[in-house]
Amino acid sequence: MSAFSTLLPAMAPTSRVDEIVERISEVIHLGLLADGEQLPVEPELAKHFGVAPMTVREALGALRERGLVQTRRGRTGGSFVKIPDGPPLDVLRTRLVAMTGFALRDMVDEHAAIATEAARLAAERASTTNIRQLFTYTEQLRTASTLGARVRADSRFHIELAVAAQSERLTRQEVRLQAEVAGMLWLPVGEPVDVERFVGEHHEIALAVAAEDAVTARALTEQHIRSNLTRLSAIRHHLTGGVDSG
Amino acid sequence: MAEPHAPRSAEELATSIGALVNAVFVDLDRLALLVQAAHREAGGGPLAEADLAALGDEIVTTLPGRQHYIGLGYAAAPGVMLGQPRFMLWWHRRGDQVGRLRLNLDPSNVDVYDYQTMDWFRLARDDGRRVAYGPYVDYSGADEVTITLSLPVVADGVFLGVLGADLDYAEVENRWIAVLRGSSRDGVLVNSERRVVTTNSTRWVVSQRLAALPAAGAGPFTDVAAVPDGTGWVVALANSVPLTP
Repeated sequence: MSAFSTLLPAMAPTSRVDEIVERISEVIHLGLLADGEQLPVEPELAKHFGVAPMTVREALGALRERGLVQTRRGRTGGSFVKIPDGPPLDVLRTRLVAMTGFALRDMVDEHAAIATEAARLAAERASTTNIRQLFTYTEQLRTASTLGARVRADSRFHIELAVAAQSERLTRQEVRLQAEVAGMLWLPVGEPVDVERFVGEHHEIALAVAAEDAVTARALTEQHIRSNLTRLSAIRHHLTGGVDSG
Repeated sequence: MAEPHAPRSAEELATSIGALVNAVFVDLDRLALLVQAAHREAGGGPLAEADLAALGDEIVTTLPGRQHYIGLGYAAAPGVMLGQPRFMLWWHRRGDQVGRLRLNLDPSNVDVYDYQTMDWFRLARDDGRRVAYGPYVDYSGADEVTITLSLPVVADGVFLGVLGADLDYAEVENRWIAVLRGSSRDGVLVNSERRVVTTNSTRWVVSQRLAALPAAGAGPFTDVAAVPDGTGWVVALANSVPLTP
């Protein structure tokens, strides 16, 4: 029974609501939906996700609570995307504090596995459009004036690496990991993030991809992602009142 | 089993593959005429969205009838649309559902989808030619593996923008592999960026970038022909090698 329950964890009845909320949140935080854009009406959303209208209504309610969607009543009414000014700091702090050191290390391990392989394949397969995008996101990270813009520019760079790898699956995984990691990484807690270092490392990775140098692209990306663990651990120690060794 | 037909040459295969591609460009040419007509009717001045009603109707009518299309539309050059430096009239299809694609086009925004930097737009504009871009992971639009075919639309020497069709890779790959199997040799379809579009063989991998664009007599290739549509794609054949276990 114990093996069974580990392999096949029970499905929470709210999982479909959560899944829809997470998927819509991700694309909004990544800036893939325009501010003020109208979402399809409830019956259409229900059909699109293959769920009951009630499930969609609950999901929209949760998105409203997160401030990611605004609902207007009346003839011109509907649900509209609201791009937040910044990432939800309280939620991110709480989530990071709730993670064990083991879980944090595990998350970065998974991210390193996905991101380094994406970088290697990108160097072998990137199109000129992909390469141009990598440099654009690097420049956006350098010039970003708000925390939200910085997080999105960082995320988009890594997602573009997976897109450049010509992999739909790695892209999905990178989007999921960015939604989980990026906001926590840039939390304004303890030592400020060294933006110049991030920009410099992204630039070096983009150069390696452009030079079709898979070995270097892979090594640089591995180093870059591994350093996230130091940053995340330092924030966690800081928030939980321990000694900040980072 | 004997070959039912004589093995087909690279040129014959390229012509067959080009037939599907050309049919797409016929659709895009028809849409281009509607953009030009709207431009003429507005006396060459900037267009309002209502001026493109006929174009919108044609897109919405064409899209559902093409099993291999997942998107079809028009991306305007700056200055063409009144008060809108970026403008897309682009529709996408999921199953039998058709919807207007709405992307963040505000150029002052960090999250902008700047189609003017995308090869399917940029190359059509700069080189004034037909473009076949992909296959690629289209995260901004279709969220699927896509090939985008595009061509520029020009009126009185003024560049008005680009017409494009997003093809469902799963649909077109099937048809193109079937064509490549018409040869008894190992065949590969390569795009203008020397990446493999599809192949009838295990010796290449889809999306792999070849060291050089195939040429007859270079490396394993014995017969190479351009797909006759001006997109720079080529079909290359190589003598089969026994599979190593």
